[in-house]
Amino acid sequence: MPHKAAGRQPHLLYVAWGFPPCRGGGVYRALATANTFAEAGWEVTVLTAPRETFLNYTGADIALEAQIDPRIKIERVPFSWPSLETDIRKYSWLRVHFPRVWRRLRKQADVLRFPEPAYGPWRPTLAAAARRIHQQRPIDLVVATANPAVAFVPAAVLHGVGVPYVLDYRDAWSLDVFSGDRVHAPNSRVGRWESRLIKDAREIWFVNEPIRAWHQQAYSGAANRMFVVSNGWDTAPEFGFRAASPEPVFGYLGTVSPKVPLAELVEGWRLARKGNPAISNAKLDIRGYLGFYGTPRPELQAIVDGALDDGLKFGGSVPKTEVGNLYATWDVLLLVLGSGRYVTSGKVFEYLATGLPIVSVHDPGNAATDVLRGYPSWFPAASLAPADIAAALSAAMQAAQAHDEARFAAGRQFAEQYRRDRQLLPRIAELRAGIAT
Amino acid sequence: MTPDNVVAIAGGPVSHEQLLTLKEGLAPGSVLSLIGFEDLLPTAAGEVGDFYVFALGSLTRSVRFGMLGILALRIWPGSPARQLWRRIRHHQSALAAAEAADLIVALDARSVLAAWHLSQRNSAPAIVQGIAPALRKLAG
Repeated sequence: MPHKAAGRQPHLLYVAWGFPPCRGGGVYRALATANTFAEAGWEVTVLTAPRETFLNYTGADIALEAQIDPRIKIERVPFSWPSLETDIRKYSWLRVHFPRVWRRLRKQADVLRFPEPAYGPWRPTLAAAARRIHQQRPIDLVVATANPAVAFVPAAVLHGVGVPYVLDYRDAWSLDVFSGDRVHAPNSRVGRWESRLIKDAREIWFVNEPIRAWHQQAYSGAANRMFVVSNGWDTAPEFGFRAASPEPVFGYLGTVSPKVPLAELVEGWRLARKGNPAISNAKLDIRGYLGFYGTPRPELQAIVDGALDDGLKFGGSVPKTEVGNLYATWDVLLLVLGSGRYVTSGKVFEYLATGLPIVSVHDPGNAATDVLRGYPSWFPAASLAPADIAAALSAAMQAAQAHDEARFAAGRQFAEQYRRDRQLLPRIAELRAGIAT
Repeated sequence: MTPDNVVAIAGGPVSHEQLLTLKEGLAPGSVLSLIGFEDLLPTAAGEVGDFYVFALGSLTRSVRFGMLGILALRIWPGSPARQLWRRIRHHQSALAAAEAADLIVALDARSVLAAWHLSQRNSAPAIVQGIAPALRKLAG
């Protein structure tokens, strides 16, 4: 029987594995979604993983927790991640003596209950928690966000008792956003889960139009329930216009995944320094993580170490609350992304909100190009060839030196359309109307 | 309590950078010891600067037997991981240092077996795999 929230505050169950203090890219969207629902008058319960998961395995940004709306109730349910466990006391005899066999068996065990390596075993815990929360205080809507896709499980469970749900895909499950290939066949376990979930969803959200279009084609019956809920920027930067520094700083902030063309950036940077005297005394400041986990990936660390004499500096991660101060010290922002027409990145919106010159170092066919087109201080590299990257860096250098208050203000004005709440509020209003009638 | 007697074990090559990273996490006055194969260590045995090195002789290289040999090597006492544990067991001062440690760090996959055996002998120390979790332990 469908649940009606008429006459009382509607109750949202928001399911996200990565929630503060998680420091992963998707966490800002998760935090903003929960906060915006709370701000819009919903009672919000967040179902997520324990803090220790992020403190021990992925790296954490403790400062993010302070940004959670105090009206939100957080339910943290146990999540174990054996393959990333580092406490050797917890290792089994089999793991120690036959690590390869252990890994293979672990992988098989992971997908027994849900077809998703590493996260699959979370399914029964999530399902039980969703039922318990619904029993304690009836839920009117579930918004579940991937990845991991196991977060969709509570939506399926509560749909059985009439609760509508929204799938916030962010990226994709069956589509590899970098290669554009379908990674799970329609008749695979993932394909069958996805098909069922999409069929019954009230709405399905994606971060950009190319990803939505791919899914509309793959699941045409649900095409009219698929929406783009773009990422956006959350907090307006507090700094104002300033002229370029005598020793300009080009900055990159974010997770340097193996897909990020870091080596190409460094090559282009070296070339630009050789060919352009204005850049020869500039600095390249990289902040964030080298890889997805707390421990830097050795091959990325090697690239950074090899360029220290070329003005590159790697400063590690930055708490979200300090990001604005960091941007205030930079003169040019570098948007360095993996290739793929389906790739946007959340960082592009934060960059836009600064009003500073932005250099794009990514495939021009990348979905981020659509976001940046029209920004007054945008300098895209024509390709990932070092010469093209160097040319874009030089053009941005020139623009940074000529940057004035009017151009700075025009950049910030352009960014207004990408304020986070502007992406979410129309959908929240629609959902509110839907469950009240 | 912050560990102040740390033993790092390595079954493969160790770099100076790894040791320095670990050392930077130590509280003042703490002791860092390294146990590993002589030919794969970055320094000679003995007291080296701020840390102590226990060398267990050279790793005996073995011939691989193809795919079938992977399983055999795991069981065979000559596998690097087993050699490492056997050498530690028979090196009295290295064993004593490991048993007296507050924190044992397995620096690589080969050293996990030895660290695990040490965890069976002594319940006191924390035993972790990798430098990052070791630094978290050291940070308290």
